Amino acid sequence: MTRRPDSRTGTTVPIEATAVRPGRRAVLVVILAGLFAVAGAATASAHGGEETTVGYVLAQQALGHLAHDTSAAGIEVAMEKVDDALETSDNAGVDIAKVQQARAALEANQVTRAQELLAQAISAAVAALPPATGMSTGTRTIEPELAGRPDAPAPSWILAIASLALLLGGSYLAYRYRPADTPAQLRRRLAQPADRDAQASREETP
Amino acid sequence: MSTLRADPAISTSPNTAATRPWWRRALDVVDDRLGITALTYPVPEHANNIAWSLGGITAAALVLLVVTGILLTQFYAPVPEEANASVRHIVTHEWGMWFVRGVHFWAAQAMYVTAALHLLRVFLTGSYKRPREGNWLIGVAMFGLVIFALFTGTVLKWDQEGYEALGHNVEVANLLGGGGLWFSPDFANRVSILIRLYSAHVVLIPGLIVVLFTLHALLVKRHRISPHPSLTADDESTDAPAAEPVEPFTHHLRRISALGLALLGALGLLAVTFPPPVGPAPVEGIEVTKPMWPFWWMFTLENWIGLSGILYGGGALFTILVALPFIDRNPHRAWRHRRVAMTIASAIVAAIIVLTILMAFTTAKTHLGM
Repeated sequence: MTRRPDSRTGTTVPIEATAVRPGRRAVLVVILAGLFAVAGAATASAHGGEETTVGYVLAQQALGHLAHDTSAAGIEVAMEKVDDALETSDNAGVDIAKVQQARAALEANQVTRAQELLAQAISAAVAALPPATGMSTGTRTIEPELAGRPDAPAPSWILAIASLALLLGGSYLAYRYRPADTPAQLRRRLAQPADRDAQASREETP
Repeated sequence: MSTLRADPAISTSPNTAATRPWWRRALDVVDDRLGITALTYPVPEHANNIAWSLGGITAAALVLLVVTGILLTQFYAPVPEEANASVRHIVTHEWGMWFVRGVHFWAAQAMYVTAALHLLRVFLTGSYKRPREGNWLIGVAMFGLVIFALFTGTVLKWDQEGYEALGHNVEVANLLGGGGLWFSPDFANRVSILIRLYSAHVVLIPGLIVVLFTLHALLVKRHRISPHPSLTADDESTDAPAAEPVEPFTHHLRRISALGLALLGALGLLAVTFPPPVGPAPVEGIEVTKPMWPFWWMFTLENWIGLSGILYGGGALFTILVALPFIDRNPHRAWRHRRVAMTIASAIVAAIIVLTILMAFTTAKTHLGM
């Protein structure tokens, strides 16, 4: 078997251990072929899709934008959606008069009023929706973001103190149950017998 | 010769049976029937280091997720019309459940971080090399499942962020053609995809993780704890040096339990300090949110090259992880002797960090349906 020199140990090792075998080359070819197939599929089908023309969905989109961003930029995007909702012919279940009032409220920077009006404008449409299937959102009302904990501070303090106690207690136990030696100590410890053996070997050599 | 540091809590010596306290005698009775002392098999001392305990900490996070998850499922309604409202109800009306939800939220991210660090440690110490290639693949599969669990958990709260994440996933599945069929709403068009993802989140994914974890642990036992490259004179060795002291495996479990307690405390503090909010109910056709931070690097790629960036980025990472033990034939385990592998890994980790940071400074862009 062909061998190559190993600079670290000063010995030789079989070349077979590092060379790419034909079987492994085949695995690599299969993996690369799979990647190219995926890449081809991605390139071929990465297109399509269009904006909705359904009136109540456009109004919901306006509400969605306002729920996340009530700045001037958010209001501007919401207004575009409201305009689309007013222009579309597919406005079953949508109270157009209320959508127009919502637009006026947005122009006057009355975001909360606009949200109320838009919700009222599509209430009939969302009430008539069938049970949600597939990717349907099933969204009936859009409430603003909710904070992740109730307002009452007392339980929070108790839970925080209990958590801190667990953190400290667990850390103490983990420290107490730590290994007897650090890796550096283990290295020194494992080196000692070898050193002793080497020394004994030197002493025995005439 | 290895020296075993005995576990004083577990001793079955018959000479001392009469003087042993009642609770130890009771443990003996249980042990006679369940064989618990089989867990006292020796493992090398370095196995109790934090770096070698990362897999155990990941398992501790999984336990926390299962317990808090079971509590949350008692109040969660997995139908689109009710899902967002039920999460709001959990936060505002069910006593203490906002805290349970917070711990669940942070434990999921802790599990992702510790699993990633565990994977990195295994890579750095060459522990994926012969004869542990199979166990590496099981670990990579579990890491994929952890990411899938994070994704499905994001969707379940059924707010705009979760819905947009789902939208991206469905579009990426469409790019895969038949390969992504399960993610397509057409797969079962009379059922909401939320219900199918809920079943995946609470049954399929944790079930697969538990099965793979069992295999993972059995293979660790079969191949023994991998050697610490800096402790062996020959860094091509597959086992820890015979001279390294050993401890009972129960010591490893004891330390992981202590670290698990500390983890629970840290997660509790995070849940109190940074409780996860509940976003507005979703609306189709808009993109106004960012995904969770573990997905940011892929979404920067998406901003650059479109939806296929998610597919290319995620696919490339997992292809490299799966192929690693078959491509890397360098027999050395110490990082100093693995320059090519270390250079490539450093480049990948640096790229993921940079792409993640870039996403932090960009705004959400519209890609769905484009």
